Amino acid sequence: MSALRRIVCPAMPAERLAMLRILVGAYGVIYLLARVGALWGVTRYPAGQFKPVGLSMLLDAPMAPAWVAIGIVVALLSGVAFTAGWRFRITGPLYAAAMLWVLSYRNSWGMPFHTENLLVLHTVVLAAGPSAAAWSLDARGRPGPEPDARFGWVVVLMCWATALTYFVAGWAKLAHSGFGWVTSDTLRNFIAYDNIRKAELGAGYSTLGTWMVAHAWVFPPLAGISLTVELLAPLSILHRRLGMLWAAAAWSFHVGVLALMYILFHYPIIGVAYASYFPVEKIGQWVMGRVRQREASA
Amino acid sequence: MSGAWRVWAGAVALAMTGAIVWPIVPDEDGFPLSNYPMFSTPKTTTAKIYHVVGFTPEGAAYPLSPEMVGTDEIMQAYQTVKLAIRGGRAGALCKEAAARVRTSDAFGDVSRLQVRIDVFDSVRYWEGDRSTSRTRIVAKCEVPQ
Repeated sequence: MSALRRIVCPAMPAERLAMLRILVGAYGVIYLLARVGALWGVTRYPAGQFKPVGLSMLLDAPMAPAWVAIGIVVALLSGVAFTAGWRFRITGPLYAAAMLWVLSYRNSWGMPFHTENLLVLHTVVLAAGPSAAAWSLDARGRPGPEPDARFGWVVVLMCWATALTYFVAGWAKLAHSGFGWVTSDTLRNFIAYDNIRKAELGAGYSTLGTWMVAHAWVFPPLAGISLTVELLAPLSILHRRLGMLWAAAAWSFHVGVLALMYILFHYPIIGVAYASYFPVEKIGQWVMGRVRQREASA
Repeated sequence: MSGAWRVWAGAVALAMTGAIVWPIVPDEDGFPLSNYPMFSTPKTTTAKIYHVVGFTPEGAAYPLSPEMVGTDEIMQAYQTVKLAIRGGRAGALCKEAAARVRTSDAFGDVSRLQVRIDVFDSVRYWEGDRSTSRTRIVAKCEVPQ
């Protein structure tokens, strides 16, 4: 029991959770800002294209554009408060709900963007924990709390959520195709198909991936590695170093997807998706150390 | 130390685990919970492409970019064309795209459009054979001058 507790509820510094809040929050706000055009663009789609997913399943029909705009503004403002840790007990859950709402709506037009799933899940996990106990407006003037399991469980749950999404993706491949997914030409055919789709829709495609299509022998080993990374993902929470190793492997997997298919899983590629596997509080400590050094020398 | 947070942590962890794994059971895609079906099913070399193609008066063909279909995202563009064809809105989509083409520098020499389904052999395509094994033109329209 104590071994299990050490894995799922280890004592961790509040600053690690705080840094994760800042990283995921800032990433989310920047992402929403960068995608404002796409979030708003759905108001121009025909109503017949509306296929609600996520929270949008509460809707019978598309919303009036004004409501779409209100949702985007609420998500952005609450996202800033979430990142800064301002009145987190309210703004944390509000931001998680607003982000889920806004992105559910944007995904409800026939094309679910799986690249956004993990960002939303991590935001929900952070909102459910004491993520503003340090390095936040709520905690200013207070001494930092000691490392504690009530901070650790949130970090471990973020890792667990990450690992499970990969596991489910691997499971889907086995369920739909069996081990033939590895041994057949399936991966090569998907890479060829996905790049044609891009070329025939007037967009950029991967020259490396399309060149490799002629070399069929490359793909079964690549498929085997991908499936292994996905199916072994849950083991990544068992040990800190194992987690880091898995995160590096998963990141490499996304680099491969980008190189061969021109699909950018931005959240993992930038590294924020795997930040919970690392002692990220050191980033904040380094930044604060530099600031203090400058202040002292000024 | 209060144990209340442990109960809360356990409840959140159980709910999160159940929610992420649940899509396996009905085998359904969704957001943000998904069974991640993309690239998981067996795939042959047949590539069925739904797209809008522009033609110059001389007959040169150019696939329209996602922006001409009303989005800046490639996959959304693909779905928009596919759903328009399936929903009987290909003619309307063609006219909307034509209006965008008219004001576009990149497609300035395009005079007519076709909303179409082309079927390629995906491996042969990248070996240089870009001929279609089947083509269905669903809608045609002129670019207004």
